[in-house]
Amino acid sequence: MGKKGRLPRTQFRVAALSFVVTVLLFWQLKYPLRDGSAVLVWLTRLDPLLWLGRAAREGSFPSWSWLPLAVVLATLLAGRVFCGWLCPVGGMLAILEKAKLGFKRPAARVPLLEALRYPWLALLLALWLAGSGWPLLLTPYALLGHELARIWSGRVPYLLLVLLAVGIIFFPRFWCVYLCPSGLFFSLLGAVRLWRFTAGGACTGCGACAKVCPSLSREPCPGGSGSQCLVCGRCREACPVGAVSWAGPGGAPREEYGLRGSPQTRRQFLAAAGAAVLGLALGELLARPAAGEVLRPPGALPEEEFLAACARCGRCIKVCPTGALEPLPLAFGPAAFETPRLVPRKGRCELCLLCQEVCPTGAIARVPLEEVKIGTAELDRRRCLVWGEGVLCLLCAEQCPMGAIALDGLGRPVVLVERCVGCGACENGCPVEGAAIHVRRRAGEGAAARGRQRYGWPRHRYRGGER
Amino acid sequence: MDRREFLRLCGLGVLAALGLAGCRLPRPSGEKAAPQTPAPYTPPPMQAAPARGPDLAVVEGDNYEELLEKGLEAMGGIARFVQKGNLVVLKPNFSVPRAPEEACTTSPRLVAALVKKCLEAGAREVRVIDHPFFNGETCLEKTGMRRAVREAGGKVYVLDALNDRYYTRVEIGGQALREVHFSRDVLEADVFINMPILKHHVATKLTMGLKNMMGLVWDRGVFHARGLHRPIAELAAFKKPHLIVMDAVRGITSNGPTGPGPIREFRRLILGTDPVAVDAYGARLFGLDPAEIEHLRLAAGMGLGQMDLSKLHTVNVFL
Repeated sequence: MGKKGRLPRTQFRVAALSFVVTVLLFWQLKYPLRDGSAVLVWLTRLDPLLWLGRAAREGSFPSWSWLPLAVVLATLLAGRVFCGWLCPVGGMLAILEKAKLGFKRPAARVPLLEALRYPWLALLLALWLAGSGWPLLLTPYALLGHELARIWSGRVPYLLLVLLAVGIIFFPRFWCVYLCPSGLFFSLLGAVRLWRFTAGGACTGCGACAKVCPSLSREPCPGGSGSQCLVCGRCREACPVGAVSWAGPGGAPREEYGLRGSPQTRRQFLAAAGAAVLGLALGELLARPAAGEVLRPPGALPEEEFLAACARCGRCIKVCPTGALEPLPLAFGPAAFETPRLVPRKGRCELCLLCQEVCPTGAIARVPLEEVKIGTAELDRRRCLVWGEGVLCLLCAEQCPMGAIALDGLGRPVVLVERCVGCGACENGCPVEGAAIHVRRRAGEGAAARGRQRYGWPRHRYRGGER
Repeated sequence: MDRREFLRLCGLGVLAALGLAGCRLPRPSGEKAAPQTPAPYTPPPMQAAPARGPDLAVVEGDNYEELLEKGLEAMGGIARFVQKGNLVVLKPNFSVPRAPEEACTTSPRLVAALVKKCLEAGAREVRVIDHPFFNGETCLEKTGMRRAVREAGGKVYVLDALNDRYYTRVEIGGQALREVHFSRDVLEADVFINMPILKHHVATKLTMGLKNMMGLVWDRGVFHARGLHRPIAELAAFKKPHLIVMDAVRGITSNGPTGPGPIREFRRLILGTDPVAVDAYGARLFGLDPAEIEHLRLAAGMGLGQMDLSKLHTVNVFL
């Protein structure tokens, strides 16, 4: 054992550390922002799905593309290294497995789901191509952030509960093997990997390796988990005759399950194609803008692009110093469900623009303050205390950070539409029950529309905008 | 009656006479008795000492530390206000998240200097508080108040939640203001020093000491709903600071109170014990007749202070 046992131990430690660090960094997302937020951004860039999504939307590759590309390369060479070693959700599941918190290990995987893995991935990718950001929520960093934000704001972390429930009912890494879009993407890439754990001639077929495999090897040999292998090395550690080795190109037989040379391939391909069509159809439904008027964080892309780009990771909700952002309820339609909205009566936007800094997908674009346009304040003169009762209130004028509320000749407040950015300070403070002044989003007004109109930003950069 | 009984009665009579006479004896003088029966110890007064010095001190210059040094000197020294073991509460205006250079908030340098002065005078603790109308964290950070006060050795925080730690429900009993949630720190303080900044205010023309007191109240919507001036004057009657130190070095002259706005250099520090007088001087400095500020006129009418500057004992210092 000795030296061989080191690999699984190290793998567990690295993965667990990744989880702990990610949680701590997420918890540190608050005003004033510390350096840790940049680390969190860089960690998130490890996920190639988020990177591809961004590159496709913006029509260009960001300067940090080398990082996700390095992860892709590692996967092509050695399989799901990210999932086994770096993924924070994987780290969390590894910790829970280690702690034996209710997890049990049934003998076999779930045959029905086995055939549905790639169709599921095809469905998610099609849905995403159709303009829904929903699949992004299932990627590890977004998922973990989303659940942490829910816990932080006292909401039920339902996805976390689902993830743990399937882990307890089936096996700990159920999520990673069947449901995680990033993980399935890595499996697809990893099918051609050059290095892998394989059993040599001394193998007696005892099945000791399959018993310890976290992704539940289907065969009593290390190749049994196929490209689902998380590169943990437990099979090598467990082999009583030392037949398992980490073998490079040419050194190992190529047995794969479910993808190459398997009778299932054609059926899987057809199923995947069918799922993709279904995904596109569903996408049309799920990419519809929110039902009803919604204020977005400062700098948010126009509504359709925003829905496609937002991963619902909850970082903006966590970082907002006034607690003005909340996840959109289901009543606003399934497409916009869980995306952030600004509720001025809950909190005003301080225009600190930290939401822009922490957004990992660019759904809240880094737009300078001069170009922010969340909406425009509209004053209800019938309800206003100054207009209606002649009371010297002027709280809106007092608190407006943009000087967008002027007084007319009789000292009554008037909104200067050009100056107003829609931060909601006026609506937040208005002493009238239910407020006499409201921020509204006018037709065609994005959270950053003002700047684009002024400077003529290239709209074609945002694919969603053309549709 | 035999002889023995007679003698005993005589003896008792003499003793009784002596006893009665003893009651009438003049009391021994205090100086003589002091060593035998020490007088009960009375601690020095915890409240700010009665006025010993001018009503108003105005210092001209722009170095905050120096302004405060000279100003306190002119007012009779910090010892006039702060005694050993006191809990001191300072209420600057850091209600908006603007940098000190933008002249919308009380200078953190001035606040830090006063914190140091209070600690030097033996204050047990110095707390710096406000209830900003912007988010507390952004205000503490962007105004530089948190850093300055912490470095000076004081505590600084915002009263941004309605709880028993920060607020106590108090009776104001005014026409416009019946009861409000008022800062518990100020109610518990031995010494309360108001530290406003002189700047423009869109609704009340100016914001100075009396207006600054609104930052000690949780439920301010009612102030606006009742027209601001009368509630401000009634709040001023509820709690009078022991000292007012007004930062009138630089202030915005329009777009107030939130700014940003054009900045004017007034180059003054105004100190005083009369809340109306300090604000009246500030209004004059700004170029307004104090009577134009309605809450000032109301407060003067309620007998809270002197609006007529000619009737005050003022010390002017030029650096």
